[in-house]
Amino acid sequence: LGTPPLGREVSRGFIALLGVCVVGIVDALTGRWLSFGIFYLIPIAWFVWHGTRRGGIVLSIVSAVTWYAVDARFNRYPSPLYPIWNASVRFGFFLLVALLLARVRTQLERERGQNNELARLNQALDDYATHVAHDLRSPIANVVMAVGMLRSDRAGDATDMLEIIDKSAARALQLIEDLLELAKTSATPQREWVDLTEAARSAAEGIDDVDVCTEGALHSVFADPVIMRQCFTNLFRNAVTYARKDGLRAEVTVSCEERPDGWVISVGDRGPGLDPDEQQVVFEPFVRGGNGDSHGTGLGLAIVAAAAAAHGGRAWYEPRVGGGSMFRILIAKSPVSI
Amino acid sequence: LAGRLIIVDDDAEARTLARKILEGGGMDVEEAAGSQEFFALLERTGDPDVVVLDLTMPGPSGWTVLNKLRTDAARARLPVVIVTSHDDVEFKAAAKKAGVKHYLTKPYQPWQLLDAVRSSGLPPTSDPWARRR
Repeated sequence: LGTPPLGREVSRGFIALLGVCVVGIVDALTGRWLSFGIFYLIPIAWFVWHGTRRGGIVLSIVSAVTWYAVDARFNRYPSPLYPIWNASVRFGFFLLVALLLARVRTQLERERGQNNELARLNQALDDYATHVAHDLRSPIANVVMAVGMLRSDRAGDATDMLEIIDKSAARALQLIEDLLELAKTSATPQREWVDLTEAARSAAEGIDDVDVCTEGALHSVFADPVIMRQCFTNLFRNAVTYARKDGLRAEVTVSCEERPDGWVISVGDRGPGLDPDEQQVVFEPFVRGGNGDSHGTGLGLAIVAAAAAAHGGRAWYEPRVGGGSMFRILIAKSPVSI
Repeated sequence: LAGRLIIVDDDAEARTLARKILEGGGMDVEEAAGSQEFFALLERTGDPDVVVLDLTMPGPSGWTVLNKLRTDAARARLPVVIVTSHDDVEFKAAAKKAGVKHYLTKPYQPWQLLDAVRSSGLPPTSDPWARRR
């Protein structure tokens, strides 16, 4: 934090050394009756504030030696040990100031960093709340309007309005469930050995219109079984929403590769894939693809990313060879599993 | 002659609601689920009398649609009514700056949408929606 590049440190060091020399020369020129000891602190303090701690220590030594040279020129002591003792005391004084100042600087920088981080988190929370409010408002507004139209007796066929109420309420409910899921997924995972084939099969059972095939034997991974199943559910649902050709079932492939640091689970589809600018943001909450024909909550992939992060890994997107999308999750091996 | 409108909204239920209201007002309504679909529809069927536009949509947003319309010399004056869940001062100001006269926040009253669409230059038609003011 706040360490300048070496080149700048050296050039500032020269300026500070020059400052020490100037103070030394003025100290020598003004003679033995005037003390200039405190002025040595100016270049030292300046350098510590803008440079580094170690530079401050070097400058303290240089200042003490300079002061010793000036002192020895003007004063005669009964023993040569006296000026050495005095210079050592001076050195201790310089060093103390330099170290304290360096400490204050680090502390201030750390606080500034924490404040920035807090401000960033606050902003993220505000954005999150705005998104939740907007995304909940839309379906609830539909319900309110449909009820209003039913009441006014001008809605014509009530079936349409009931259908709107039904679908909109379901959407609001799904959003709330996904929000809870996202919060839950970010917690510490309860790891155990999970059979991925079983997890993928059970996730696929809960979704209509998806065919899952596994590429090679799937490893067992040491992870939270509930979260793993949720990841598969969300990735399959994503494929149904965005990668399904009209009227056909979505086909996804699941594979798993073991690496020294963890397992990489991949779910691929043969949909249209993502635009480069979508690839950057697809794992962020409330981001929906432009190609979907149904209305997702925009939280599915965010939950997947949160799940990977909770397992010390990450989630990312790759264009699939031969067309389509490949979503990958790294599950880091926990220390207990090694 | 009934006016022709295009509703651009990614929310299918919201589209159906707006369509019911506008058709009840004797208007000819078409729907687009996103910006790409909207521009494809424009190419296919020509400019409508009024566009009813949602702002937040996956992919290119309503703002992109608005910008594209305003920078196209032939469509710069095409009336746009914004219908959105964002009750936001900055959004309203930005929409006004883009020449939008009517900004409705969901949920709205049927007569509000009909009023907005009519005062955007549609010919008068019979009004089955009693105003509740």
